[in-house]
Amino acid sequence: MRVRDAGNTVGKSGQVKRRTCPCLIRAIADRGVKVCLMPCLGLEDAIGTAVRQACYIVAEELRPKVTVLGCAPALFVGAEEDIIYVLSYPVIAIEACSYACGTRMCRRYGKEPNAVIYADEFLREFGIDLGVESNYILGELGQRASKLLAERIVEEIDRLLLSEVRRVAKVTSEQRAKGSTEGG
Amino acid sequence: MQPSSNLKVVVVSCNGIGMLVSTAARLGALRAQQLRPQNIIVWGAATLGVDYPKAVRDANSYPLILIDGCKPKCASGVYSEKVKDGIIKPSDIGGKVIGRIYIPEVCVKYGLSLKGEQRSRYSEKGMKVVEAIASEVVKLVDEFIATCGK
Repeated sequence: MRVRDAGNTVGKSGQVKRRTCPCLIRAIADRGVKVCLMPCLGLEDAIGTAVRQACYIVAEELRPKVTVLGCAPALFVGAEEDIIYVLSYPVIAIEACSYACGTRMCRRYGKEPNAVIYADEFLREFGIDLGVESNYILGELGQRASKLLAERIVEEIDRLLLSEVRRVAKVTSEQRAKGSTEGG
Repeated sequence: MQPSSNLKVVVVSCNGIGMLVSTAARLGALRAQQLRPQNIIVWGAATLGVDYPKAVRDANSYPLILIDGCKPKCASGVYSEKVKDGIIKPSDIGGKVIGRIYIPEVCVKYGLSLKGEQRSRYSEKGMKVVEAIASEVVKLVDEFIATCGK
């Protein structure tokens, strides 16, 4: 069977980036499977602002039904909602520097992030340095960085969602097989 | 008018992402820093929470203003935890809180609201809240500097 091209794009390195079919994402969303984004929320540099904006693009435009935003300060004060997000869903930590605050936040609740994106390293591949950008409201370069980061986060979300759905399907089929053996 | 003093104050702001108000907290703190660049250092509550070395050093070196965005009052919560854990040691010079700003109270005081705003991009209405927060921070900083000068 030939799989229809769902609008794949070619990355800077010439590598084909596979875009997940929107119908598949909708089906996954209907099953209630979600991914939690745990971003660096640093205020001191523009890269923190770019990471934050990228998360908004993902959560509000690109993958709204399958994304939740993990709020780092809320985790500190034990906000139930955010703890549930981190403990129940696969987590993507999006870091602005090697101190890796997002990863540290997950570990505080005994969880290792399922994926980590280092925004500074990723943007360097595109020759983007946000050193001159304002951390207050992003300019053109910062906005471009946010969009690129958002696309990178989406790739990781789709990968994690599919792997989560496969995992759940495997568990379900194993339970069913076990049930039929016990019943027979 | 800007005070000429080089006295510094650390603003520890809510740097959450989920709630609409967290954008106001972040922008309000950074706007205040634009207005008093010589006097204000800004750190996010979570950055202090994970013991980021520069944030911990600044929090112990200068007095603090805490900005809380919503009911869990994360900036205050992180500060209390850090004091309890001995990471922040309040003294006469640094580590002590000289002011707290709770954004819903600022909105009431100035008759402003964030209703209908988007967390990713504020319109003029949201930016009025940002300016109100910044002016409250600046007021506290100027008062502190004036008191120290006496």
